[in-house]
Parts: sequence; structure tokens; C-alpha cells
Amino acid sequence: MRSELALAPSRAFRGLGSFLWTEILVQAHEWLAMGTSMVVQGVLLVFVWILDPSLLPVSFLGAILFSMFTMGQRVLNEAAYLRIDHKANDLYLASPMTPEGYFLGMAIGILVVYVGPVLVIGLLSIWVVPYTPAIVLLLFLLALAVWLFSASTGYIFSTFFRDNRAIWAYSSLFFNLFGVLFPVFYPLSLFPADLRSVALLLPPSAAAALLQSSIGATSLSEAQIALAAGGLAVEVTLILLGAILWARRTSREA
Amino acid sequence: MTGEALWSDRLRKVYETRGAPPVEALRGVSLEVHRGERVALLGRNGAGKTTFLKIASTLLRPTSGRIEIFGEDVDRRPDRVRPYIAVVPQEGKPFFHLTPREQVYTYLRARGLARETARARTESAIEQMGLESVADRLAITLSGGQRQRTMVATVIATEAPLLFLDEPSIGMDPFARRDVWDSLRGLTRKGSTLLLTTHYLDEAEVLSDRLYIVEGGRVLVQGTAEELKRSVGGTLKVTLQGPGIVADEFQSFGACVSDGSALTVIVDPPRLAELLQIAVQRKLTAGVGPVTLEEAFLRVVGRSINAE
Amino acid sequence: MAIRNLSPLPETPPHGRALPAFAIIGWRWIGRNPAVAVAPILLPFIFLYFLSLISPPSLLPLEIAGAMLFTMQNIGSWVLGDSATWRIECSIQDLFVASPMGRFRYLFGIAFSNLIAMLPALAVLSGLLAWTQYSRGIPVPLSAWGIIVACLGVLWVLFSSIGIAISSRVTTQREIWPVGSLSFTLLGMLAPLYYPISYLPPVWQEMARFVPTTYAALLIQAALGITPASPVTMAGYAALLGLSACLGIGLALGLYRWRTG
Repeated sequence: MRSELALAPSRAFRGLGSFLWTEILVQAHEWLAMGTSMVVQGVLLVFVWILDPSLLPVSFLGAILFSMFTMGQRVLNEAAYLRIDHKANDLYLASPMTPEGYFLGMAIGILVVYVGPVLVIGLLSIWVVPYTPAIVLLLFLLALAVWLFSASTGYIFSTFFRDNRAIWAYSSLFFNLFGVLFPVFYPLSLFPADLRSVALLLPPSAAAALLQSSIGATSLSEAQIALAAGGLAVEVTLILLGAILWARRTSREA
Repeated sequence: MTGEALWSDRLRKVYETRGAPPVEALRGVSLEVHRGERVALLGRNGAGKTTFLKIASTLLRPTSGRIEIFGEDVDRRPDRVRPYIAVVPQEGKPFFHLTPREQVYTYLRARGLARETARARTESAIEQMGLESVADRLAITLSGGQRQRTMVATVIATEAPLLFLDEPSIGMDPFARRDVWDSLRGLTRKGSTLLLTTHYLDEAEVLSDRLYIVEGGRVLVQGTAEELKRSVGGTLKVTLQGPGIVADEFQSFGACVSDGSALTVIVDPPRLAELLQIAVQRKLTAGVGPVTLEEAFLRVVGRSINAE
Repeated sequence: MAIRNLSPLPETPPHGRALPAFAIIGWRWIGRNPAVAVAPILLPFIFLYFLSLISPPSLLPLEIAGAMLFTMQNIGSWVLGDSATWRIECSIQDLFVASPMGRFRYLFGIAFSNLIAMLPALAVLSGLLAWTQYSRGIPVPLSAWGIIVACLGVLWVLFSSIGIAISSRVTTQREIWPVGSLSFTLLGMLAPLYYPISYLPPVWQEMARFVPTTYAALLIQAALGITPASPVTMAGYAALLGLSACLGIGLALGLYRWRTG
């Protein structure tokens, strides 16, 4: 029997734009969440200011990077919430929208709305960070990489949750492991020497180390720079592709 | 405690929302539920059933009027009433991280029941609700119908003297609904009293000794299902479909209700043949069946229970 | 009103019981969600590690005590989440309202079930505090342990109450996380949990005196001999802390919507 349905052109990111706009509209009402995304980083900056103000340039750059990481983690919360509470993923995935369009639309929508608080931290950092155009460009690229990594892992992890309550515990664990334990808010030089290569392999701390090196707060060897930059590029690419494939795979239950 | 299981007099509830006009959800509801009875509040969505149930189960305060449970004023003395009631809330869900068995047991313990009693009643309720095969699975992994059965099991296990059930069989398959109905009938045999809300006509008919039809925050009529059906004016309904049907032509046979393209005529058996003859002459399609609560509802409310 | 068929009603327990039910609810929660058990244990240590890098080593005992207080403060956020979720998402609160349990027991139960989740972290931190002080030749005296336990207990009551009070104003599931984080992070930031109050700028010191956690921190710091205080001053701190807990309970019971109007 011949199908009478018109064949729609196959496009990988179909629906991305419309879901991006939907997500912007949804998230734009979340003033509290936006405030919170600044406050948590603010607390760490306050601790540094009180206990060792000389670390503020490093901490401010760390706060910017980590705000991008937090923004990616909101994808975890949002994707899980929409799937568990609203069954919205069923609504969108049973439509011409593609799974990767859904994932990236959500991630970029959150980015657009939450970038405001990051810009505020960035503006405040002008007082303590010796910016040059090259550092600004590096910061932009590294922030983008950290966000892509975080949003992709966030989306993948979101598919494993069945209960919204459990997300909070995991979220705070990710936040503290990636942002507080490893050298994001403090210089790599304060981190145990034996474990520095581990820190250089984790995207947030790798990005932070590269930025710290660019302002002279930490000295990195060429091998360390290669490890941090190369590792970051490879990890971000792989996890982004992984998230897209995972989005396709989990769009229909087995 | 003494008195009727439940008695309300001119109960009103007005919801005040900032920036929006007030909504009068109950406009003076007076009703009574005798001990050991199963009573249903039947109505369309937004009729005021849930509001009444919430007030009766001490969840919500009325704007005015009086309501008593076993002779105690529900509004003024909710704490005196609460040991004697239990409620299945609308769209309630069990604790996600507990199993149905744990959910029922912890709730009974929370109500102050001794460990052994709680354990025995838990097993009984799980069995009655047909939840044995999923009794040790986390509630988060259950289907919507299984979760609802867990909620009903939680409440029937209390064996409280007065049980409130807000749409108790919503989301359940036909077999599970029958299990719930059987269990609820069993509870009243043990002496409990039941007040349930529903918009399922079959549920109201099968389950209730008496029912109240509620519309627009008012009780329009009350009685047994049989009484309400008799009040329609006949025992058979004939549904006529075809071009140019005018209700006036059939008024002499009995009550007529026009529902879009179809006309339903209530008729007694002796005049059925005469009516069908006219239908044949007019080349109309005719369907014959017994009068149900749907016709009673249509007659009382003026539209179908499913009409928006 | 016609009264008939008045056979006596069956005996029912006049009051509910929070402990047996919520002990199971709390225990199952951490038992079935490993991160829920692990997060409160790990988080203070991750934070302690961060602080130890940027602060003098002499502050370590104070920071451990601060981590214990912070853990208790976190309960507020968890209690907020539970009471709001169970009310908004599950309508489970309705089950308990229409029961002999009562508002106070229900809220106590939620706070208690979350205390269970925090106990492992508190036990580990207590051990660490005892070991740190012992290795410095100044073991923690019994009286100081008494003060620490009392302060933690009061903070549990206080922050659970604040969590409950805030949760009653939360109307959607989406608000829970940001409202909780914002409220409790701000409260944690204002109080000098991880450093002596003298480290703070003067204006901030004055602001910190409006935060009850400050008095718990000062009491514990005094009990450990880190920030000396006279018995009268300590009694004053204790009185203020107790008063704030009472106010917290009053606030929670006053604001919490048990039965809607």
C-alpha cells in the first residue's frame, strides 16, 4: 500500500527554533531561579573576599565559567521536570520536531535567558581582572565550551531520573564536585600536584586553568596547556555528539 | 460522637482571587448522608463536587452555612472530626519513593494505629485493590491506575467511619474499577459511610444508595438512581436521527431532549410501536434502549454530563 | 435535622503519630537514593577543603563546626522541598489533614524524616572535630559537646520551621528549588559560620547579628574556646537562639496552610 502521507524533508534540527523560543518564554518568568544562579557563585566570591582577597581575579573568572556550567545543569532540571511532571517531551517528540532540536532548543533557550546574570558577574570582574581583547576572546570560547559540556551531560543525566526530588541532591553534588572541589574558584597551584592532570581533564577546571594561565595567576607548561585545551575540545565534541545520539535514542522507549 | 454521618445546611463557598472576579463554587448546598450509606455527588466538571468534599473533609473552610459530621461542627471543631474520616484526594499520588505496601502501612501508623493492626489492614487493602503483584515496587514505577489504586487502598485500610472519595476510579481500567466498587461496598457492610464524587454515571448508579445531582454549585435533585430514572417519565428512550426532526412532533409521547442532530424521546412501552411507526414513515433512524441515568441527568441539568 | 440509627462509632486513635511513619519515610528516602545520603556527607567536606585552601589552618575547627551548622541549615531547604512537593504535586497533605495526625505532628514528621538524611554527615563531622581538637592537644570537653548538640537541635527546629513557612507560599513545583536555594544560601552567607565574626566588615557584623545562625556559631566558637565569651554572654546567645527558634515555630504554624480558607 502506498503511503498517502506527504514525505516531510528530513532535517536534523527541525523544531530547534520554535522550542528555543518556547523555552525562552518559559524561563523568562523564572526570576528567582535567575537570581539564585548568581547568589550561589556570589557566596564563594564572598568567602574568597573575606578570607583571601588576593584570589579574587581567579575567583571571578571561575565564577563566570561556573555560571555557564550551572546554566547547563539547568537543562538537567528542566528536561527532567518537563518529562516527569508535564510529559511535555512526549508532546514534542510525537511531532515533526527532532529529538536533537528539542534538546538544543531547550539548552539554548536557557542560555539566552540566564546569560544576564553572567554578564553582571563579568562586568563586576572588570575591577579585578586585567582583561585584554585576547583574554576576553579566550574567556568567551572557554565559557561556551563549558556550557556545551554541562548542557550535554545535563540532558543525558536527566533521562535517568524518575523522581524530581532526587534531582536536587545530584545537582548539588555535581555543582560541588566540579566547581568547588576542583580548582575553578581558586588557582590550580593550590591543588595537590599529583592530581593536577585530573583537574586539567575536567572541563570546568581545565577552562579555569587556561584562563588563570592567561592572566598569570597560574603557570602551565606547554604539555599542560595542550592537555587542558585538547582534552576540553575532544570532551566537548564527544559529549555533544553523545547527547544528540542519546536524545535520539531515548526519544522512544525501547 | 452522635448524629448523622454528614449533614450540611445552605453551605456556600466563594473563592476570592486577587485581580479576578470572585467565583461562587457552592451556592447553598444542603444534604445529608446517613450512617452506613453510600452517597454520590454526580455532576459535570466545575459543578462544585470537589469543593463540597474538601469542605466536608476539613481541607477547606466554607464561606457560610453549616456542616456537621457525626454531630460535630466541621468548620469549628475539625480536630474532633478528623479521627473519624479519611479522604482520597483528587489526583493524589502516593509517596514516590515508597512501595504501595509501605505507603499504606506508614499512613496507618501515622494515624496512630498499632503496628500489628496496621500490618494486617495493609495486607488486606493491598489484596482488595489487586495490588499484590506490585506491592513491593516503588510507586514512581507504577502506572497511573496503579497509583490511584494505591491511594484508594491507603484510605480504605483506615476503615474510618466516614470515607470521602474524590473521583476514586479515575484513570483505572474497567477491571480495577470493579475491584474498587467491590471494596467500597464491602466497607459499608462493615459499617463505614461513603461520600464520593464522580462524573461516571455507571459508577454513581452501581455504587451509590442515593445520589445528588450537582450543577453550578447547587443540588438540583436527590434520590436513588431508580427514582431519578423514573422521574424522567418513561422507562424506554428512543433516539431518532434524520433530516428535519422537530421535537414538537413527539412531545405527546413524553419528554424530548434535542442533542444536536439527534432527538431523544422518553416513552413508556405501550406507546413504543406507535412512535416507531412514525419514525419509519418519516424515514428516520431509530434506536431503542432502557432509560439510564444519562437521561435523568439530561432532564435535570438540561445538558449531558460530558458537555462542556 | 433528623437523627436516627445512632449506634456508637468504632474506637479510633484520637491522635496521629509522626515518628513511626516518618522514620520509615525518611529512611527509605536515603536508602533508595544514594546521592541523597551521600550529598549531605560530601558537601561539607568539599566546602571544608575549599575553605582550607584559602584560609589559615588555625580556622579548621571553626570551619568544621561551621560545616555542622551549615548541614543543619540545609535541612530547611529539604523540608521546604518535601512539604511543598507533597502538598502541590502529590496532594498527600490532604490525606494527613483528613486524619487525626494534626498539623504540628505532620510538619514535625517532615522535619524528622529529613534529619535522618543529615545524621550520617553530622556523625562524620563530629568525629572529625573531635579528632582535630584532640590532635591539637585540646580535646572537646563534654560541656562543649552538649552545647554543640543543643545548638544543632535548635537550628534543626529553626530552619525546618523557616522551610515550612516558606513552602506554604510556594505555588508551583518549579519555584521550590530557586526559592530554597536563594533563601538558605543568603542566610548561610550572612552568618559567620566559617570564620570569626571579627573578619567581617563592621556593617556586615551588625547585619549578621540579625541572623540566628550567628548566635549558634558564636556559642559553639565560645564552647570550643576559639572566640572566648563570658557565661553571661553565652547565656545571652542561647536565649536569642531559643527565642528565634520559638519565633520560627510561631511563623511556621502561623503561615502554613493546613486547611485552606
